[in-house]
Amino acid sequence: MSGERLQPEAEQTLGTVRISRRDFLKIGGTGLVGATLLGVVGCGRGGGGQQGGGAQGNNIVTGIDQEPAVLNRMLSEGQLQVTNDTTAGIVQAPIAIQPDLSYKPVLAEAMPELVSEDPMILEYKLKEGLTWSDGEPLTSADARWTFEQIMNPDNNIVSREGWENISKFETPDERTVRMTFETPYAPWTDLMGDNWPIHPKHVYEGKDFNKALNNEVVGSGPFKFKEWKKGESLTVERNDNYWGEKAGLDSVTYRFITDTNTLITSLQAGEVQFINPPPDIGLQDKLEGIEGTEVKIGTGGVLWEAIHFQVEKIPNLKMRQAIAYGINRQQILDQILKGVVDPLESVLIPQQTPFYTPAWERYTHDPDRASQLVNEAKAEGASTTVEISTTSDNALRETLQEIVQQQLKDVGITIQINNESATTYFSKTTVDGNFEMGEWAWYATPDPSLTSLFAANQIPPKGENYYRYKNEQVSQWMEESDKTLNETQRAQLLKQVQEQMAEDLPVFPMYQRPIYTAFVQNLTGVDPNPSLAGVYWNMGEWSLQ
Amino acid sequence: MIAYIIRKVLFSVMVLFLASAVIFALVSLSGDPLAELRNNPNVTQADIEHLTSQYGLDKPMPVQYLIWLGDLLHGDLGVSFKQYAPVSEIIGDRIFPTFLLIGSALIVTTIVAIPFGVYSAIKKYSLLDNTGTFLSFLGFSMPVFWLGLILQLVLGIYLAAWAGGRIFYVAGMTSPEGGGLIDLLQHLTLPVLTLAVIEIASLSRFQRSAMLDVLSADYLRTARAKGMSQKNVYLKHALRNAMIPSITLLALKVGLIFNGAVITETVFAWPGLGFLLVDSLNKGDYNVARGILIISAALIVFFNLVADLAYSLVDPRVSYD
Repeated sequence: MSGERLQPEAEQTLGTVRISRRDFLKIGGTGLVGATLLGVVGCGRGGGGQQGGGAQGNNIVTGIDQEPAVLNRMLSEGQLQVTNDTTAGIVQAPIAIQPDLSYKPVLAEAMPELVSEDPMILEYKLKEGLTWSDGEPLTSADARWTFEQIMNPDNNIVSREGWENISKFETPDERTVRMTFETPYAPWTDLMGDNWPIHPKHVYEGKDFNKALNNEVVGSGPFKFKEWKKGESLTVERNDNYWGEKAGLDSVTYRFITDTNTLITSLQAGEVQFINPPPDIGLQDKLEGIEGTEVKIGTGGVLWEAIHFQVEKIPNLKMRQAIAYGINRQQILDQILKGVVDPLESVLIPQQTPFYTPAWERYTHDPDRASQLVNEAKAEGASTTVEISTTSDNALRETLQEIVQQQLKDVGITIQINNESATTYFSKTTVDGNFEMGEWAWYATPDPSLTSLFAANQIPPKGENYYRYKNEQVSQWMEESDKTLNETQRAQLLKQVQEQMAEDLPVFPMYQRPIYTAFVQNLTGVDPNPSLAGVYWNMGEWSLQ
Repeated sequence: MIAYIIRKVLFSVMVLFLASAVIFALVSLSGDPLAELRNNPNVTQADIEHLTSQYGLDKPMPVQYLIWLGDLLHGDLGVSFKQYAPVSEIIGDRIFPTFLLIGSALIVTTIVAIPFGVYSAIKKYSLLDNTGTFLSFLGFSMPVFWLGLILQLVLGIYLAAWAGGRIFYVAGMTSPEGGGLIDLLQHLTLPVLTLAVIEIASLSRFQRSAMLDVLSADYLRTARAKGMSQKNVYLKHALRNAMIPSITLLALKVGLIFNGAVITETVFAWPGLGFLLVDSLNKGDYNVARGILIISAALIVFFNLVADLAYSLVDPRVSYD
C-alpha cells in the first residue's frame, strides 16, 4: 500500500500530471518486497499503562506469538511449540514433564514400570474413572487405538522412533497397558510423555487421522476446544466433565500476535492478560515497566545456546581452547540478559540429572592463558582470523557475537561476523558444515541421548553432527548408553562422554534460554515450564483472584 | 484499439508467466519448509527424507515448478504443507478481513485527500496549503510500523487511560466474546488510520498537482472570461479533469488489495492476507505464500490493463491507435 513518491511539482506546467503506470508499479512493487523483507522492526516503549483489568468474568485472553498449523501434535505439521501451548489444557498423555524436567503421572496411576529388562516390557495402569470431555470413559482401548494410529503407515506421524521397537501392545484389562519391546529403548519416557497424548477412539475411529484432529480436538484435559478463528484467535473453555479438579478459569482465548511490541502493548492496554514474548535485549525492563503486571522468568530452559565449532575448519585444538578461555560468558549474560541465567557447563542441562556433569567448568575466563594458546596455535600454523555465524535478525545472538568479537580481540583473535537468515542457516550452512564457529541453540529433551548430535556416524545427511566431530571412543560410549536401561550405568557412560567432549571442545556451551511471562497481578497459578510442555502446561490450575 | 487490446493481453499473459517463475523460485529459495523439523532431535533423518519426497521437494526445482504451474493452470493452487487443507480455502478465509481493512482505508483516503488536495490547489501557498504540504511530507516519511506503534500508544493506551475506559483496541479484529459493529469499529479504527494517514499524504499531493495543472489551462480562463461563477469553474470544469489521475491511482490500488497490508496487519494482528503471507513464509508453507503472490500478481496485471483501457474512455485525448 505504501511506497509511492510524489511527482515533482515542476512537471505540472508541462501537463503531465498523470502518473506513469509503470513507475507506479515499480515503486509499489519495491515497497511490497521491502516491506516483506523488513518484517516489522521494533522500537518504542510503553509508558503509563492501564491497571490490569480487561478480563471479563472468569475468562482470560492471552497473547501468543504464533498460530498453530494443526492441532494434532503427532503429525509433522504439529511440531511447533504453539501446538503444545494451544492444546495444553485439552490433550493428556500417561505422564507429563514437570518444570524441573522430571515426570509425573497424569492419566497413568503411577509412573510406568519396567516389568522386565530382557525382553524390555513396560507397563502402566490408567487411573480409575477417567473420562473424555464428552463424558465417555477413557480406557486402555483408547491407548491401543492411538498406538495403531501412530503405526499406521498412511498417517503422517512425525517420527516412529521408539514406537517401532514395540512388538506387542497388550491391554489385559480396561486400565492396563503392556508394551513389549523387540530391542531395548532407554528413552521410553519420551513415548509416554507430552508429545504422545492418548486420543479418543470413539470420536475418531474410521476418520482420516491426518485430518480429523487438525482444526479441533477432543481430549480428556481440564479444558475443551471451543472455537478457532483462523488468523485471529483460538478459544478453549472449561471441561465440566473433567475427571480431576475442575479448571479455575471459564475460558482461555489465545490471540495470535506475532509482533513482540504489539504483544506488550496489548498487555498494557488490558486487551490480553498473559503473554510470553521471546527473550530479547531489554525485554525484562519493558515488561517490568508495565503497571499492574507481574513478571515471572523461568530459568533452566530446554533451549540451550552454544558456540559450535566445525572442527574440520578449526582443526587446531589450542585455537578452540583459546577461544573458550578468551570468552567471558558471565559478562555476556550480564549484558544481554541482566544475568538472570548462569553459564551452562555442559551439553546436557542440569535438570538432566543424574546424567549431567559440569564438564566445561574448566574453561573459566582466563585472557592470559588464551593469549598464550593463541601464540602456540599460530606457531603451529593456525589462522588467528575466525568467522562466527548465526541467524540474522536475532538481537540476542547478534549482541552476543559482538561481545565475543570484542573479548577475543583482546587475546589476539580476529572475529569476522557472517550471518544468514534462519532458514538458510539451518537448512544449508550448518548441515553442509559451511561454518567455522556458529551460534545456535539445541533442544534438550528429558532423555539425555547425545548420539544424533555428536556421534562420528551422525554426520549429515544421517544425523545432526554438524560439527564433523569424530571421536570413535566417544561415539562408542554414546551408542552403548542408548542401549543401557540401568540409569546409573547409563549416567556413568554419559559422564565419560561429557568429560571427553569438554577436552575435545567441538562445542562451547553458553546458556539456557530463559522463559519470560508477564501477566495481570490477579492471575494466579502460573508456573512456567521451561520444557517443550511450555508455559501453559498447568493452565487447569490458573485462576483469577 | 482492438489490436492494442490483443497486444496488451498477450503481453500481460507473458508477464504473468514470468511472474509465476519468479514467485516460485523466490519462495523456494526463501528457506526450507522442513527446517524446524531438522532441528528437532526427535525427528530422524529417515523421517525428513520421507517428508521431502512426500512434498515433492526431492525433485529438481524446474520439475517442481512445472508440476505447480500445471496445477495452477487447472485452477488448483495446491495443498498447504502445514495444514493439510487446500490453499484456496486457507486464502479464502482471509479475504474478507483484508478487504474490509483496505477498502475502509481507501474510502477514508478518498474522502479526505481529494477535497483537501483541491482546496490546497485553489488556495495555493495559503497557510492551510503550506501546513498540508508539511504534514504530507511528515506522513509520507513515517515508517508504517512506527506510526502503528505510536497510534497504539497514544490512541490505544493513553487515550483510554485519560477517558477512563477502552475506546480503541490495539490488536485483532473481534473480541473473544463477540460484540457486533461497535466492537468491529473499535478494532478497525487504528489500522485503518495507520494506512490512511500515509495514503492521504500521497493522494492529496497528487490531487493538488493535478488541480493546479488544470487551473492554469486555457479553457478555464475562457470559462472565467465568459463570466461563469468561480464555483462552477472549479466544480464543473476543473475538478472533473483533475480527478483523472487520482481515479487511476485508486484503480491501481485495488489491484494491490490482495497483498494485504503486510506491515499494518502484522502490527495490529489483523487476520488478513498480509498476516497470512508473513506467517506462511515464516513457517515455510510455500504453497500458501505462492498462492497469495500469484493471485496478487494476476490482479495487479489485470487492473493495470483496466487502468490502461479506462484512460481512453475517461480522457478522450488519449488514443491508442
